[in-house]
Amino acid sequence: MSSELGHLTLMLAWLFCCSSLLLAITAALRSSSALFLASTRATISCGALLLISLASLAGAFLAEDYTNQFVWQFSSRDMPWIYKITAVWGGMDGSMLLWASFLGLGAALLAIQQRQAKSEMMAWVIAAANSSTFFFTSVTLFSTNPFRYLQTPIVPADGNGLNPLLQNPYMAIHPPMLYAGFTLFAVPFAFCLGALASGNLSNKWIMLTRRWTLVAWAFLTVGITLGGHWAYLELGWGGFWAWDPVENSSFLPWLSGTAFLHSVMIQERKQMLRFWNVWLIGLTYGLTVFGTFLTRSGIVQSIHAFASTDIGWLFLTYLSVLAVGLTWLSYYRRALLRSERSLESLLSREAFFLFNNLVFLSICFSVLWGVMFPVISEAITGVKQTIGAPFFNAVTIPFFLLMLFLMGVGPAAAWRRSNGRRLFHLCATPAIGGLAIGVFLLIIGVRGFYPTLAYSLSWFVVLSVLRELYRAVRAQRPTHPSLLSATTSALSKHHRRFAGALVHIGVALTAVAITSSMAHKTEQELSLKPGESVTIGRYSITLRELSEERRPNYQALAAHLDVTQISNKSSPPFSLTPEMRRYFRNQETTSEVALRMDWLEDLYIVLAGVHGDDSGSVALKVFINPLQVWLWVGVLIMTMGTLAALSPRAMFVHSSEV
Amino acid sequence: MSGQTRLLSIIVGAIAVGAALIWQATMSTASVILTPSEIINLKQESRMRIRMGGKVAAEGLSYAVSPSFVLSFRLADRDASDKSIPVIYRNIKPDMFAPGRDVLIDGDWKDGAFHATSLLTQCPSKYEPSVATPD
Repeated sequence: MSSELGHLTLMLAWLFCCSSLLLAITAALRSSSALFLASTRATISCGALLLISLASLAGAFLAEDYTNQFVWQFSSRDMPWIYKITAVWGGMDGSMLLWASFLGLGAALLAIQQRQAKSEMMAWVIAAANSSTFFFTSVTLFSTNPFRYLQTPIVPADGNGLNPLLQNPYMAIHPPMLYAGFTLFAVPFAFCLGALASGNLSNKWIMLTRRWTLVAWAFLTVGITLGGHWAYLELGWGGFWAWDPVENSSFLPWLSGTAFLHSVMIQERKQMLRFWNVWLIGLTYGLTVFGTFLTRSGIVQSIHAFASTDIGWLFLTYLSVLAVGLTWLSYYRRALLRSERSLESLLSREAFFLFNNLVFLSICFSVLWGVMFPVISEAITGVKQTIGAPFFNAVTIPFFLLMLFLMGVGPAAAWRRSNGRRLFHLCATPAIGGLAIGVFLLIIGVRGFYPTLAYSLSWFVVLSVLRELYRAVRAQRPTHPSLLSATTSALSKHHRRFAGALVHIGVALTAVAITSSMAHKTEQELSLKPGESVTIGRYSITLRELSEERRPNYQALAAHLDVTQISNKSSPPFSLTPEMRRYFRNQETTSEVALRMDWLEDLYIVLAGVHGDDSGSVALKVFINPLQVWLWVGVLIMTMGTLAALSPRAMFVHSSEV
Repeated sequence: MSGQTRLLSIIVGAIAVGAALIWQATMSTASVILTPSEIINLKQESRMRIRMGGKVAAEGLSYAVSPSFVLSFRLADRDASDKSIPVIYRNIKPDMFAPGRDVLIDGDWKDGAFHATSLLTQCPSKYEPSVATPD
């Protein structure tokens, strides 16, 4: 029943989407506010219907409706209810519906926000937003429909079941966050197309999209990180990022989106880079679609298995249409896209923003090159070749270090033109601080050029932010007697700048954590008999016992470990219990990592197996990942910074600046 | 030189450096993608790193955890299981590793065996199109 409702609402949503697209285009061509209002209503209805359709699919999963092929294939009766809901995006068909629904929802929110606007530009914006929804809804309805009946004479008693790796709480949050990030970039892109189509290429569309872009960026950042956290906790190889094509395809729009976030600030202030921004948001939206293409078309091999499907061609066609359309529109509007000013000096804020863009796009291109290399090499040399993590690390690390350097210097540069000597003077203190950290690390025995440089530069970034804050507070001191009120006043006066600075501090922390996990991680394999102890790093690990337990849908083998810290006798001992789980349904085994997080380092233990010699001894793999927790803290701070930039105060300052 | 020209020359220079970096890294890390039967047909030992994709054969699987982790098995082509080659992987058996599973392996082919440095088991169900029907 639920399945039929879902199918019906999906079809209705498609019809509403078509009509709002046509209405919005007609409204734009005839400057009709009545038609514009009708198109916003149709857009809102379309979004609502898509959400009902999505909820109905979840309902079909909960109702164990195995007449539905998709439900049958990705769930089974013994799954907990939460994983029945998350199974909606456990397969391709449902994930496409989720994508379409989010696009519909984004377009609906946009329509609600702008329904009073009645400008030609907004009509084009609504039309453009609906065109994205139209494409994804069409693919969902006609090609990857999750509401198809199972082609079988009798309804099966039970479903096929979901991959145990996907039966995880992160499955509830990571894909939706990521998809929200992807789909929200469709809104700034719609504004861009609307601005191009209407010829209103002042800064209006940039102003109106600022918050949408920030929200999209925040969702994408958190979504990608949650994926890394999930891999870290679940996959048992001690790492969080493998440069897998699927990870890369979510990283690509993040890179170009981050470049866009920065370059719009120059347009906002200086009316420069109009052409560039149009293409940057086009690229970002294109890369979200490209990621879908990449991960669903089977053109690259990945740990995520994708069978080749015909929807790849649909996506490629859509991307070509977007590229041709954007080229044509930006050529047609070329006179309006010209900058009002040109760059005055290479030592200016504008120039540093440009360098930032250049570095982000270089990383973006490198990652794209790495992902597409198998395809490119086969096309050129006839031999299929591939490049993996060593390539990505070799290429991106220098770029990321350069980025850290720019993050420290850029904010100190003045708009238009900086005095070189003054800029040097401003950067001197943080630079000396960064160097001091580097020397200190060399003295205490940290080795390696890149790691030392990365730590120094990260510290340089943090100190630069503190210097900015110090100067802003000092400027407020004459009018504010207390330090606290001077700080508050400085922060609220330069609200956006310090929100951005907070994001930068988060990035610096993240950089430190990534560096230390790459350079100073240790791993060791060992076997332990019950009662036996071993010392690794500052821990003494004892195997207390091995136990077996039957749980609802799997058999668990658990090693109970007691851990004491040698260096610090006063800290209480703790126990860790890594497990191996064998699922009854498909006899898959998965390992459940035991993790002890600490501000200094993570102790990460995987139960690798039991020896066959009846001694009851177990094989363990022990990782010590220094400073790992700061990666998650860093991203949290980045998110908080983004939220701060979104706060009402920022909006107020923003609108008064217009 | 005006700011504009200087900027342009910086951009061109940066692109050249970036391209050189990408090219150098590509050349030094690329590996060829081969199937087990293509490896059997190799005339001599390949000096390139190899990435091999295939299906884990039902026979010949063993996993030892002491004195160190050694997973050895035979890998066959995805679509034909009559030809297979021995693979040795000195590490923990990954989750989801089982006979019949598709895996991606990086490593070298020497002395009649494939020495794997990394082994990835493909998630069996993630984005496959739903065409399967119950037995």
